[in-house]
Amino acid sequence: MPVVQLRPATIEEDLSRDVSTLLDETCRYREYTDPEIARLMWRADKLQNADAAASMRIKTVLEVCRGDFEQAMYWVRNAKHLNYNVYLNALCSALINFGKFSESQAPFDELMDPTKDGAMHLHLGVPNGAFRRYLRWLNKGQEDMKMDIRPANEQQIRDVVSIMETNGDSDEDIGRVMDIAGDILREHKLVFMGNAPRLNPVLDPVDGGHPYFGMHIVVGTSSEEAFDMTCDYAERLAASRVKIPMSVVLSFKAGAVNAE
Amino acid sequence: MPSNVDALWAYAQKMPDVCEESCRAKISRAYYALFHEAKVFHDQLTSPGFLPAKPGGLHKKIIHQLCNPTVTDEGLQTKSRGAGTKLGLARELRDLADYELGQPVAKSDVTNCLGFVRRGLQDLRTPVKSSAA
Repeated sequence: MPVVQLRPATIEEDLSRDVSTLLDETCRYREYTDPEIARLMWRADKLQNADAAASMRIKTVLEVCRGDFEQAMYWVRNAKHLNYNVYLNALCSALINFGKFSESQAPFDELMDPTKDGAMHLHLGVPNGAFRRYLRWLNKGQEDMKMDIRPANEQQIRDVVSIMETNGDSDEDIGRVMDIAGDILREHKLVFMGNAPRLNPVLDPVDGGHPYFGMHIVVGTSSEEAFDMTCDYAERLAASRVKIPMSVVLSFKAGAVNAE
Repeated sequence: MPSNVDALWAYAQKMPDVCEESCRAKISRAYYALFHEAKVFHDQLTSPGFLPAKPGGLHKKIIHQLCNPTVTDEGLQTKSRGAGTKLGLARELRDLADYELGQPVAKSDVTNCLGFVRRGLQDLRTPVKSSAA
């Protein structure tokens, strides 16, 4: 007979759900005066007395929807003294949402510390390109800690890491080129959603070429805008002196941002 | 009868995209137009790009060499890296078209591939302002 735990819904749960829905519906930055954000901000203010850290986390997400990086970091810094795990989670998620991928890799690593929440945040290692770290923590959980973690995309990530190892590319190499894509996302006022980019690993190309994986960042734009963004990315990457990792072919794809 | 990049590119553009197979063929021809133009560009550089650590086919070598130029001229470096990146983008679609028969090819894949090739050819044919790196 299943054990049913009954517990009252909390203000935080309700608010988090509503904020998540808003984030899911937000492709481009919203106006600062957006009434829905104002309402949720007011509810987050009320939550502050009960759970200040959660309130800061929620306010951070709302600033992501507005595209206000400085204000988001202000709420993140406030959370730091209240609850360190909440702070790390908010920092890592906000940096990813703002397209600052390589910067988010260090807090991701810290967040994965098994003495903290660990595996709960494993999913954050895909959207920021920290594939090697992701796999290291997954292996640690599965083998050393005997945890029953079987992510749906496990084989895909293993393939991606194998490609990176063959080509000698690090998480930082991937993160740096993703940062160029992040700059473009911000200039187009587009929110990088928590959904992982679509990956297309080609382990053993028939043409004898090097193995690589396609990384398709899905954006809520027209196909033409997505194509122009990809060309812009290619030109900026060429003009930068950033190492071009042979492992990744990054492009933007128009589509439903939140479709899995 | 011999052919050339312009003929390949013109053919790729005028091919119909009325069915799955013609879409795949269009992507493939367009990719090869850029591949050959990029190879000619790379062959004309005063010093070739770095070879990959592990040997492989010509496709592996040319993209790697373009993305890792050894020329000291900044303009040529950028041009080489740009050609390598756009060739890589076209290559992903070409691999889908030629080798992934189980996956559908969309009209948008054709449009994107031809777009990358068009931009790549334009860049390669634009003279660079020379400057030492």
